[in-house]
Formats: sequence, C-alpha cells, structure tokens
Amino acid sequence: MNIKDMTIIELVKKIKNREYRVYDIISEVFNTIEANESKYNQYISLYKKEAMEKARLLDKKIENNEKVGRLVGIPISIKDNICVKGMKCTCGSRILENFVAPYNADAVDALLQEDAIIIGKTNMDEFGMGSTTETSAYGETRNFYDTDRVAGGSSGGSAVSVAAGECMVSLGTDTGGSIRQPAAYNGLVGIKPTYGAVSRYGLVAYASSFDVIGPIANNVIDAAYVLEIINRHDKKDSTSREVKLFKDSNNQYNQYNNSSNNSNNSSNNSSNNSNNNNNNNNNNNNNNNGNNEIWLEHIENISDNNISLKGKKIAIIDTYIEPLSDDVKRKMDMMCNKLTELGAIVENISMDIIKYVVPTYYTLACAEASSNLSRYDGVKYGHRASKYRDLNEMYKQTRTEGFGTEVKRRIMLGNYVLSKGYYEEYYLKALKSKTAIVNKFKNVFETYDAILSPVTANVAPKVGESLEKPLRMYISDVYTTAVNIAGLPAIAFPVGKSKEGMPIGLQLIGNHFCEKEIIDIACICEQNM
Amino acid sequence: MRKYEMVIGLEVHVELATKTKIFCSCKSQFGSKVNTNVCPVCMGMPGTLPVLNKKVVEYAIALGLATNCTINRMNKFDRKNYFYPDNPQNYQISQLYEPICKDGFITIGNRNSEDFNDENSIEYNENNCVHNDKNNSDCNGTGIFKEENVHNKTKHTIDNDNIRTIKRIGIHEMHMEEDAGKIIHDEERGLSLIDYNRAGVPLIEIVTKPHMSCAEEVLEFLDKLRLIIKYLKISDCKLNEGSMRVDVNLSVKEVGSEELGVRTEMKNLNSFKAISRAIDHEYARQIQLLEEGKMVIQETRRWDDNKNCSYSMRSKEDVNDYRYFPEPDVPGIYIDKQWIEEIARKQPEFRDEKRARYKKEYALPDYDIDVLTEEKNIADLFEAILNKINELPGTNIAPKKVSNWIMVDMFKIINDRGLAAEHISVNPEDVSTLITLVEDKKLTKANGIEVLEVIFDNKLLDMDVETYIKEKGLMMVDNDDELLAVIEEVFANNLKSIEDYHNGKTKAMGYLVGQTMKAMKGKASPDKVNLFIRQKLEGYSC
Repeated sequence: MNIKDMTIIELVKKIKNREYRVYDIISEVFNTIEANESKYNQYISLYKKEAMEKARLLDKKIENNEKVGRLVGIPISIKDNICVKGMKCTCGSRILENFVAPYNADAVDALLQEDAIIIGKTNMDEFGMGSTTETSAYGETRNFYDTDRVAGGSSGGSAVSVAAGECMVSLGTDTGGSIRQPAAYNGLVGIKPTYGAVSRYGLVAYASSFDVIGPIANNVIDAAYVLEIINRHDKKDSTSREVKLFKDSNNQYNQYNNSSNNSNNSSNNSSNNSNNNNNNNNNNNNNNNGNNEIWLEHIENISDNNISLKGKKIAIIDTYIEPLSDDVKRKMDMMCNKLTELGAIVENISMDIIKYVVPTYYTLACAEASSNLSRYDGVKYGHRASKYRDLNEMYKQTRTEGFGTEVKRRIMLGNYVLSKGYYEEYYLKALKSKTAIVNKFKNVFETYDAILSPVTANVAPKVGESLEKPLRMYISDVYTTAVNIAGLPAIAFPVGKSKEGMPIGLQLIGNHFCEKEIIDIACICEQNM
Repeated sequence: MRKYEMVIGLEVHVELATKTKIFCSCKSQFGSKVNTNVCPVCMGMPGTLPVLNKKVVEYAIALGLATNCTINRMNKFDRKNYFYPDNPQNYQISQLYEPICKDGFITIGNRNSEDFNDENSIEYNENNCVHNDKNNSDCNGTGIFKEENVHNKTKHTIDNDNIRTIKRIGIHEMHMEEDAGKIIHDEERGLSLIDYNRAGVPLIEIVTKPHMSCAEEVLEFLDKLRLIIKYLKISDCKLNEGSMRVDVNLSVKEVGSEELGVRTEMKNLNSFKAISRAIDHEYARQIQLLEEGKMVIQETRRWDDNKNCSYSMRSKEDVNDYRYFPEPDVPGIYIDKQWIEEIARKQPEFRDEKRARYKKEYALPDYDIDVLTEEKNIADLFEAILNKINELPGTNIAPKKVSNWIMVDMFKIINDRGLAAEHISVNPEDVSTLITLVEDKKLTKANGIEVLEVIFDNKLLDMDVETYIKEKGLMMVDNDDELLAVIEEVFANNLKSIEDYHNGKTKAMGYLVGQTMKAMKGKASPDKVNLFIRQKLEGYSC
C-alpha cells in the first residue's frame, strides 16, 4: 500500500469499509519516515506515539460502527508555525525552541474534528521569512527530486513531507508564495486561499495582512477536499469571513454548470443541498456535509470530463521583470495551448504595476513582522539569554541569540520603514501602492475568470545559492507576492518537468472567494496533462 | 517678579467596567488573584488574535455623546510599539489616526461659583491655547452633534446674585486602547514579577485641550468628568485603584504673553489632593527656574506625594518612537447612525441636568442637591422614594423632608457601616412607607431610624415595612389612658426628680420624659409625653 497512489476520498472510503486499518496506514507512514532518515530534513518534530494511539482509537470506533469524520485516519503534517495543542511550535526559530502551543489553531481543530491524524510539525524558513527553507534554525530541507536542491519555502518541510509519501496533505502557510512555490518545486498542488477564507487563529503571525493557511497535496482534488474542511468562519479571527467557498451560490459555479452539458443538474443539486443539510444537522454536528456532497458530485463530473472550459477567459500577464527560464516558458506556452484546446480564451494583458509588487510586499510585510515579532522577548516564553545585567540587555541578548540573520534583517527593515520621518516616505507609499495593485486585479477580474502565471522563473535552486543573495531571493517572489498583496486565491499545480527532471508548477489566480473557479480549471488541466 | 499664569491640559485614562477585556473574553475585574484572568490572547501567545469587545465601543460612544464630542463613524485601531515586560505583545492596540471621539467639551464653573477663586479664572481667548484647533466646530459632516465654537472662552453670567465664571474645557479627542499588566518588584528576593490580569482591560484615554489655568479648574473638570462617567456606569473612576489615571501637562507663561512655555508631563497622581499639590508645586518649580534665568525642560516627571516633590522620569531626548501603524488584526468598524441614536436614547439624566431640575421641581437647597446628586444611585433612590410617596393618596410630604431622611439618617447608617454610597441599594417602597408613617406621626422618628437600619440590613424577614412595624409593636400608642397610667407610675417611682423640678432644675423634666418613653418602649408620641408630663408637673404641688 502506498498512500501516494490514492486520493484522500478513496482512502477514507477504504478505511470506512474496513479494507484498511488506520493503524497499518500510520505504521506504514512512520516506516517511510524512518526509511528516509534525515535525507530531506522535513520535520522539526514527530509525534509517533500520539499518532499510533489515535489510530488505534479510530480503528476501534470503526469496529464499533461509530460515526467517524471525513478525514478519518488520514495522515497529515502541519507547518511548524501553526499551533497544535501540546506540540512544539518553533516557527523554525531558536527563540521558540521549547515553546509548546497551549491551544489548537482553528484550521487544526477543523482537521482533528474530521479525525485526521497529525504525524508531525514540518520545517520552514524561520517565521516564514525565506523562499528556500534554508533560514530555518533546524537546518535546510532538501528537495524531494534532488537533495542537492532546496525544497523551496517557506513551507518547504510541508511540501517534502507530502512528496515523500509521509502524509497525504500538509497545512502550510502562504504570506508571499510560501505554499505555492515549494509545491511547485516538489511537483505538488498548493492552494493559497483568499485572505479571510481560512482562520488565522493559531497561525503564528509573520505579516498579518498577508498570512493565510492552505493545503499542500498530491493532487487538486485532495487539496480542494481539505480546503473545503478548513474554510470556515472563526469568531476568534476578526479578519475571517463568513463565506463558504464551495457553496453553490457564492461564485460562478452555477453559471459554469449551466454553460456545460448538465445544466439540469444545477437546480437538482441546490435542492439536494438543502435536504442534505437538514438531514445532517439532525444526525451529526457537521454542517458541511451537504456542501461536501455537492462538491464530491462536482468533482466526479470533472473526472468524467463532463465539464469543458468553453467560454472561460484566462489572462496571461506579460510584464514580469524576472525573465523566465526556457523550461518554464515552454510550460507556459504549452499550457496556453492546452487551455485554448479545451475551449478557453487565453489573452495577454499588460500589468505595469507588477514592478511595484516586490518593494510593496517587502515594505508592508517587514513593517508588520517587526511588530509581530516583538513579543519574543524572553519574558513570557521561549528562549531567554542566560547572561544579562538588566532588562534592556536581557531583551538584546535574547533576541540576538534567538533570531537568525534573515529575521533580524526584516525586523530592522520593518522598524526603519515605520520610524518617524520614514513612515510617510515608505510605509504609506507602500499602502497606496497596495491599493493600486488591488484595484488593478479587480479590473482584470471584471473581464477574466482567472489569470495563469508561472510560480517561479526557474526550477528549485541548489542549496546555498540563495542565501548569499537575499535581494535575488526577494525578487524571485515576483510571481507569487502580488496574490498576497491583493488577498486573492491561487492554486499552484504541476505541469511537468524541466530538462534536469525537476518539477515545474504554474498557478491559476482567481477573484476573491472564487477558489472553486480556479480549482475547476486546475482539475481539468491536471486531467489533461 | 513677573506675573505668570499656568496652562494645563490633561490626559485621563479611564478603565472601563466591562465584564470582559477589550480583545478577549477574560474577566476584567480588579483585585483577582494574580494571573488568573488571563488567556493566550491577553498573554500575547504566538498565533493569537484580538477580537474587539463591542461594549467598549458602546461605552466610548456614550462618553463621547455626554461630553459633546463628534463621534468618528469609521473607527480604526493602530499599533503603538514599545518594549516593556508588562506589555505582553510589546505593542499596545490603541487609536492614533482615527480616534472614536473628537472635539468635545465639559463646562465648568456653572455652579457653586462661591467655591471658585475668581483670581484664578483668567480671561482666556482662543489664541492662548497650545493646540489651537480652529476647526473644532467641524462635525465630520455628520451634522448630528453640532457644537458652538466657544471653547476656551470665559463667559460671565449673573445668577442668584453671584457672578459665575463659566468655562468650556475642550476635549481634543478620546480613544479606545488596552491596558498593560502590572510589574510587582519583590525586593526581598530581588525579582520582578508580572501580573497580567490587567493586560487587555479596556481603557478610554481622554485628551483635553490646554484650557485649564489652575488646580481648582483641573479638579472641577475631573470631578465633572468622573461624575459623567459614573452616571454612565462605565467605570468606577477610582484614582487610588488606578481605574482613573491622570497625567497633567503644565507650562507657565507670563500673563498676557501669547507665547507658551515649555511643558512638562506629571505622572503618578493617585488622588485629587495629589493632583492639586503637584500642580501648585510644578507651577512654583517652573516659575523658579524661569526667575533664575534657567530653562524648563520638556520631560516626564513623577510625583512623590509623600515627599511633596517630583523628579524627572525621562526627557524628550529619550522619548520613544512608537512606530505607529494600522492594526492589521482588527478590521475597521463602522458606527452607523442608528447605533449612535440608540445609545443617545439610553443616556441617563446627568448631574447638571438633575441639579437644575431638583432646584426647579423640588426647590431644594444647593447643598442638598449636591449631596443627593453626588452618586447616581442615591439620586435615583431619592426620586423613587418621592415618586412612591406621591403615588399614595392624601400624602403631602415635602421633598426637603425626603432629602433630610437620605442626607442625614441614611448617610449616617451608610457611614456607620463603612459602606460606599455608590453601592447602596434599598427598596424605595419600604423607605417611602417608613417616611410616610413617621411623617404621619404613626411611628416615632427614633423608631423610624431603627426600622431604616433594619431595611438597610435587609432584615425585614420577608415582611413589608408596615407589617414589620406592627409585628414588632412599634406603632405609636394612641391610647391616652395607657400613657397616663405609665406617667403615673413613673412619677411614683421618681419623687426626687419631681422635687428637683420644683426646685428649679427644669432638666429633671427631661429625665421623666425619658423614663416615660422608655416604659412606653418608644411607641408614644414625644409631643404628647411632653405635654402630659408638663401638665402633671405644673398641677402637682408638694
């Protein structure tokens, strides 16, 4: 049995049908992890004992015909900046080396309520600040396809844990591309949801305005399936929104369905939806099942090739400053042709504002980071320097020892752009630029259903290459950060390999809360690869 | 020596009496065991997020309306960044760019001008103020809360033959923010410990314009502000417990000069008296510096009330750059017109309005009005008792009588029991029945006071007042024969007193009255006892 050969939906079915025992699946997962040894360094902490215990418990439940969740027995990993009660949460930093989270992130709660099993916490760039998982205090994570190369980042550990078949899905976080880029580097699917679609409660903040939790998985359906579960309104996060991404009414799904062959299904689905909701409310505490079944049906329709891309308008941005490598360029061209073949209208659009994206992103993200990270001071939790004479020295020593170079650089940058005399010149200007970028995208989505874009200009770089040139690393974020600035959803999916055999991914960017739109297109692309 | 005058502005922090904290659901109460009202959010744990307590906004709007402010409809929060161990996140969520209330005022000097030292009431004009705000009549276009542009102007009105100095003390702005924890220094063990119970308790900071010119004005302003807040029941405003904290910004300038002096900020003022002493002291200190040809340094000073002096905490040079920026975790909140109107409808009658009404409706003396309106619940009780009495047919008890019962008899009980008037709650119906019985001479005043104590101590044993009085046999005896028989007996037992009386010791009569009252267990009418005893003494010859 290899969990990589199945979708989550298939595995859950087999577990529920008692074809597989959860205990065997989890044992197998840990066998794989042990066999891989420290080849990739993708985990910061593992929780074998807890996972095995939970597996036994779930098997017993199934034996007793008790109700189990939609992720029953599914092994998952969690990026180490997302809190899981009782587990360490280091954020890849020395300063939180021994910090054990006292509560669950809302997204983690959502997964646990569906009986998922957490295998471990994955490696990452310190506090998410990096694009390679090399700034981690716990060593860099290596690429699954070539251990001389970086895993990407900052959710590098999450991506590799999925690629290596050690879990079926991982929760990563995306502040400037941190889900999509490592997913692309490791041949996986990563979804960066709309800002506000998934609660940030329990996600250790890097840049509050951009941070978002999302799934990294082997295929589009798995990623979408998990996104559907973690997408929920959370009163503990005031920026989380009450939008159900997979509900019929909230995006163009209806139109979409109508334009396809099964226009009659649409109304049937709606009535099914309400019926299911009523039934399920009586039987269990899970309100999502109604939507979920609609969703599953929809997915099956896609698998049956029942949905075409006829009439879809897809934009290609032709003004990126970072030149694409031949490999990526070829894949972009190939995908454009494929989309056209499938009936979509693909058009080039120019977006001059793209040149402001990276400076805008780093100004705003560092400003927020400088404030968000000030709580790590050695007073309440985490690392505290052992030698100091007074309070100020304690602060200074603790933070000097606790933070790595990249984090220090961004804290200084952030403090600089917020300080008196520079605030207007940098921070406010960046805010204005952000508004302009948001408006530009709004404009594009008035005409287009999605934007197709590269995730990176090239395949994963060699280990060590990026660290020497931080500015180079920042610029490489040009394809991903605009999405975060505008708060838009995007899905990265694999489209093949480079000459060296390294995976290449592209992304589809959608309008706010139109995840379903880009997931549909990605799903069709995936099946037609 | 040149003549100087003071220019004073205040920054007042008020802790709101909400049940829970401003950004989490921890209790915000004072005096709990250390670090018990805490959670991951108010401890600044990684990954936690603030969720705004709506009550805080409601309270801020109520206070803004009560102080003639313009309510800012679009509210945003900002982060103020500074490192201190009592500040768990090392930033405070506050409001810098869009405070909830702007451009209000509180009028002082519109009462009790006799308490007011006229020498201190300097004629002001608009050019005197530090932050001369020319736009203070701008209402942000809402149009609901229009104010006249008469801030900072002194008006003289003639009322009751007193010249009163009416002055508007401008409120620059008010904003919502979170409080920090408390550091406790354990000298014995050489440790600094932190109690985070207070971290995240909601605060409103009120920033006045520099419109005050003496300690008396400051105290009157603060007293008015405190009473408005207490009437709104949004804080208990205790300086000694820190639920009201006052920082005084003070500068001096030569009389008539347009140019303002350098100001200092005084902290650690824990009582009204300390505020007054600190102002006078700082005034003298600054004048002395100027007279010696020295400069006043812009700095923050800490007042030591025990030593009656202040010392420098930090100067302008080492002032923090707070690196304010918009708080990304708390979305802006839009305050719609309906919400403001709803709060406006629920506003209580404030003290100034009450005072005017009491004078007009009840014709009470100023002193009574002051005492009765000092605490809202006492004023409410007074009005409730009066209403109950007026509901009874055929009763006509003057408001002044009711006022006396409260001011004299009830306050004696309150003081004897060491209670705080603001926490008193008694059933007005019981008290009104009691007062009516006494005023109708069905109960002696002495017994009435005893029953009042019973009401106070909640010992009526589930009876209504009248039943209780009857049960206890306290109703006045209306039977003259019984009384005369008792007097007969008292006289028979006190022949010496009778002799004394006839020998000119008129005091002896008092003794006989006392003995009679005692024998009657207080149930006899004192008037009648006096009358009968006098008659008997006069007709009784040896």
